[in-house]
Amino acid sequence: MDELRVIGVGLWLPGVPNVEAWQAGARGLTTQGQEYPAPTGLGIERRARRRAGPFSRALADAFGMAATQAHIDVTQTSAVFGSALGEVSTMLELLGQMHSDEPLSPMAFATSVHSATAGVISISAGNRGFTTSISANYDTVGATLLEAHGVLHALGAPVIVTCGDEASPAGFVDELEASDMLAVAIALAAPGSDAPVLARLRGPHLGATDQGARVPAAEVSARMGRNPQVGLLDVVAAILRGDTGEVSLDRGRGRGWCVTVLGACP
Amino acid sequence: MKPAGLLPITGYSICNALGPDRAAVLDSLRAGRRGLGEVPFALPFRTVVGAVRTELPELPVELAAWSNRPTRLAQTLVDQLEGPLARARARWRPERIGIVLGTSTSGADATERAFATFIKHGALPESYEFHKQHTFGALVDVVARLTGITGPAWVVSSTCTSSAKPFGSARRLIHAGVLDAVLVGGIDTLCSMTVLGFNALGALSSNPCKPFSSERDGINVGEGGALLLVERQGEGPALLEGVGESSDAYHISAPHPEGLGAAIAMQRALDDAGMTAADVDHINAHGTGTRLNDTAEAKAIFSVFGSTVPVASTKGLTGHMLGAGGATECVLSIMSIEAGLIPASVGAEPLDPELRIDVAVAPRHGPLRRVLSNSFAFGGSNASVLVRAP
Repeated sequence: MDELRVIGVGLWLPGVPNVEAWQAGARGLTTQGQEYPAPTGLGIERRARRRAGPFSRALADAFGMAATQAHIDVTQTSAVFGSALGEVSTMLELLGQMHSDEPLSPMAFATSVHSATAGVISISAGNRGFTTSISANYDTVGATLLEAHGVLHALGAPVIVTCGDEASPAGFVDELEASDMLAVAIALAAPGSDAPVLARLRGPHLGATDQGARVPAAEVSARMGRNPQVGLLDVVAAILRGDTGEVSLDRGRGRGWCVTVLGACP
Repeated sequence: MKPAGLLPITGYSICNALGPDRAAVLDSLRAGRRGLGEVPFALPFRTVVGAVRTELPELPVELAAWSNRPTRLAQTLVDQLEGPLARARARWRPERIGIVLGTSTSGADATERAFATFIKHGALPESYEFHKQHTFGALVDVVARLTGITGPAWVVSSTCTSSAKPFGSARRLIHAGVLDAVLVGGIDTLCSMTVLGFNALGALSSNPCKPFSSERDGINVGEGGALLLVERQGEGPALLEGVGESSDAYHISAPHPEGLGAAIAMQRALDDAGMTAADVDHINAHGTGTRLNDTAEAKAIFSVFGSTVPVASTKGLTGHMLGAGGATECVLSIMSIEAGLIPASVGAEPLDPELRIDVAVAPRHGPLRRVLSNSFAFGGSNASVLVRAP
């Protein structure tokens, strides 16, 4: 596989609204009873933003940061979104409506689907490229990077990968497995792109290789560390620290997808 | 974008309201026999659905914790495909074969039942495990275990394009050298939330649906699935020639009124194949039976193909299989090529005179070289897949 060029990054965690806050040392709060500024969702068209929940806004914020840093034309770019659970809180809201006397909300139904945020972001951006929404539990980050490989090879133009999951639904997941909300984005270009490169990625590949030392995972709470998409945060954190080496994309919870982070220059 | 080259589709399997396998589905397709019938659960309004009426096999004991309707449907589909899968496993290293499936519901039915228990008793059923019963990843894990495929595996979930887009992923992954073969397809099963949701949107018909008819008034939800094996080399019933994808950039649940995104997807599929509109013999339309979709799709088809290519919607037979629709209709397109049959667009009469396309109201017979299959979805996601005779 060709190397991937990282040309932009973005992130949103509770209490860490952007890359600058992360670099300043903020490491996040928990969604469990702590106050934190809501994601802005500024990349979402105004009317849709009023209806958008925190998860959609967080994904839009991360996507927008990566696109801005990479100087990507969001009206044309292709995008890959990854999430294990998708719009799970909206789906549970619908289930609640089904068991009450309330009529089912058509808008809640339309925005309960896995690809809802991807659709909202593409509509808001006026994008006529194409967007793919992927899910593979703890292997989702690896899957999105593989899909990005294919898109980059086919189109040659940059692609934005955005991964995120809401906090795990209370009552449906054991407390010891519960996770907090996270959104992370990475803008990728194929070799030969003239965009400024932050780092290069080799892989993803299954299992450890001899391509460098294992890079430490990002320092986050245990709840955040269980978010299925935290592997992409680990990649972004390594890039922001200037670390090189191998990064686990699933923190040992999936099939073992890893990626090797290399310096910006070959 | 320059043409990417042909990829053989070396086998397929299918199961839906028309029947549990290829032979039964082809029989219904030839006869124009609808698979629509009563809803197998209580609803506060009338509609019909395309339900799979046959008994589905149980999963092997070691996968019992994952057992639900979609995974049992997966077992049915994998069983049908065993020959091509065995040949692919012999031809390629198992880690060089991937799985990209589409679903929009996955285990939603199981979660609905678990939630009902939660409301009644204050606790989820002991047999319900969220990660094994509900998530999209669970479905793909089961398919990997059933097939012995050890390469990358994931689900695309973009409602009604969920199982059309995997053809694009497969094509790109094989051409990029990431994989040698990809099992693509889609599986969706009926659940109350989907039927109630489309009713809330005012998009559900209370009668068998009538795509492209002046009397059309909505969809019927269907269920089922299809799997197809796409390989770098090999022989099979069809070739994957082109895939086009686009976004409407218009509305979360309505198509662009002029079918702009749909037309872009169809043109991209032709460009990907290095073909022109004149090279296509038949279009298996998205054709849902809603007023908005059929109008927008007809405009899109007219803008790319004019009015001479025969168009049919098979949703009048199967119902709208949502996340399984794209793969199912791709298989039906291949079956059209194999049988030399453009199926009747059942329910289309009386035709809507505003639609300037050639809708096949009766079956047409004759050799078909290429068929284009359209899928369009919430959020303005569009995908068109071009298959051709080998």
